[in-house]
Amino acid sequence: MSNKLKFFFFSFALFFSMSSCDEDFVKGDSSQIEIYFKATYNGAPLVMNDRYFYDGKELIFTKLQFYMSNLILKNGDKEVDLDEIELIDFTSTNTSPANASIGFRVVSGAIPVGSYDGLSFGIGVPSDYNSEKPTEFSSTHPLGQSSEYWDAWNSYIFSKIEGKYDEDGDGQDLETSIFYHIGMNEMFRTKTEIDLNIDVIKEEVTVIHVELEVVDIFNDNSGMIDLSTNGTTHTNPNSAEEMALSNKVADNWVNAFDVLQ
Amino acid sequence: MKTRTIFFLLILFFSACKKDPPTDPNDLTNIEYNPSSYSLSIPESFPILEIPEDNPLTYQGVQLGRRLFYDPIMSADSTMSCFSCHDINYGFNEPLSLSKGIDGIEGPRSSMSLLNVGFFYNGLFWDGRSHSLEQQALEPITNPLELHDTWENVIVKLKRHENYPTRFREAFGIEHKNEITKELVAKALAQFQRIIIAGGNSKYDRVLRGEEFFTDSEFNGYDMFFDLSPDMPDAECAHCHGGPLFTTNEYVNNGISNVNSLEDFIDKGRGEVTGVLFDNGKFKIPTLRNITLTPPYMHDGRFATIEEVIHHYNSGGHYADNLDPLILPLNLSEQNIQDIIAFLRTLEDTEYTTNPDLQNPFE
Repeated sequence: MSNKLKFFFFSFALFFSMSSCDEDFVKGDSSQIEIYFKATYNGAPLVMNDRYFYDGKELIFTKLQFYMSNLILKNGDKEVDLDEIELIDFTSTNTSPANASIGFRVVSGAIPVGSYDGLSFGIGVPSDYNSEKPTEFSSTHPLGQSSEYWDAWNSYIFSKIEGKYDEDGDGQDLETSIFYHIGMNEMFRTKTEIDLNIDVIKEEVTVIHVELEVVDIFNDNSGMIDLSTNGTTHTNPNSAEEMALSNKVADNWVNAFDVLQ
Repeated sequence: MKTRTIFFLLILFFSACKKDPPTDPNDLTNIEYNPSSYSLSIPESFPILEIPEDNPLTYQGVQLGRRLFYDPIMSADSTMSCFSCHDINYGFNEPLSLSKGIDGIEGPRSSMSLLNVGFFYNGLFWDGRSHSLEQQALEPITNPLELHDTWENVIVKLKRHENYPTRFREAFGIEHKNEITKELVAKALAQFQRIIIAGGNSKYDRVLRGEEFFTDSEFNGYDMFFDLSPDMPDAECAHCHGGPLFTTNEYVNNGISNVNSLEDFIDKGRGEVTGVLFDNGKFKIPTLRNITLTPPYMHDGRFATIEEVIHHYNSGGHYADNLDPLILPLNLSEQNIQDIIAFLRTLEDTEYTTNPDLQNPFE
């Protein structure tokens, strides 16, 4: 599908979804909603290049970003499409504690007044877009950057975590690189939150915060990822080890999000 | 009869006294202004060329920019032009480690290749201090380490010139010589630079199109460059040199400087622009198209050969807190290095040198 056609289709869907509200929404009434994504480390705003502790050793994050796609607010079986694709780049927003506490604003617009009980979004680039390349988009489009595409695998890089780690634990140099570059269609994940209680009230701005607890990307039910042995992957499909690690990291991304009201 | 004669003489008197309307020698309105769109051929695999709405590519604008680019009138002593450091025969670069201006003083950095510069949207210069070609073109004229002139002087020279006012009229529709400005000079130079396009018919491009095959050595280099198979080492190149232009246009510390702290970089690079300590020592990632033809390498031209460059990356570089995590020891063998160089040579494409619109109009 061409980009123009997609744009038209999405615009139509957005218009339709916002205008086809039934009795749950007061017809014609809409109100502003703002959604912020925030990255934290152990509960505190994560600041790029600041030192944190992981498994008793220091590490820093130099890059943290992901593609957020098909952001939807739900009310039962009814949905409002809020944003189709966005590159949430904490690298550019989380430059100080103050900026990091604000987070990355991904949507600000009017939606029908009413109650919503769910929110979902994709972590990655949907397969229809992932079949395209950055050269097909302008440089200001979220999908227009060659840095976010891995040519050899014909895929956007869905999420990136890059940093450095004090593997020897001497408290000095951060001598070991860490990077998790997750991509390809099979790594696409969807985050769905249910049982929310979001009331969009007429003439009031509704603010939703979606928090990404980065520690949880490294730490799941099976324990903490050992950064000295599993600190890097760029999802090489020819490497079973990298694919296993990428799958684990992709799953952990989903569980690292939490919606705060 | 007498009356008629007097009337005739009066007519003659008044008409003889009437002066011709004053003709302003600086008026250009008698010159036709009818710019034609410039037809540009862009390789299919390349990104979209984004052209500012207020500076569309025209044949007249490109030709004006071309003359200005090559004309030493742009320097204080008429000895140098943009061409002096951006020579078409060296990939619109120069074979010097550090550029020298008209006073023979070395600047702090090597010049950058202008090949495909119109596609670089994330800042220009090694430190990204300019946001557009139009903005970038304003700087070298007045830089004491480059053309070391003043804009006032350059504009005076252009206004006095026998051809330039006409060319500015034809390109931008100015009506008077006084309307020649540095902004129009920059626009013309930007138009010319946007047509400096190289690529599309390198061996790499032909292989991608299925018209040719890599040699074994080239393929091994390609494999390591993009990390295709686990059987070969990962040279980690494509993280920074991905995409059809072989650059992500980002800024990184690639470990060439040995410093004790982030304050110690002699040239702070991107940090000078952003004021962010962690950006010290970061520089723009250059394109690798024609890279084997454009030595020396790095922002200060410290590496004379591409072999030295790859040996540097193989070492993992010097540590700093902001050393890019993707710069790490690679464990490449000497054969691996030669294979990567063989692949890089497939990015050579000098067809642009035959484009008459890019050639020196004064030769």
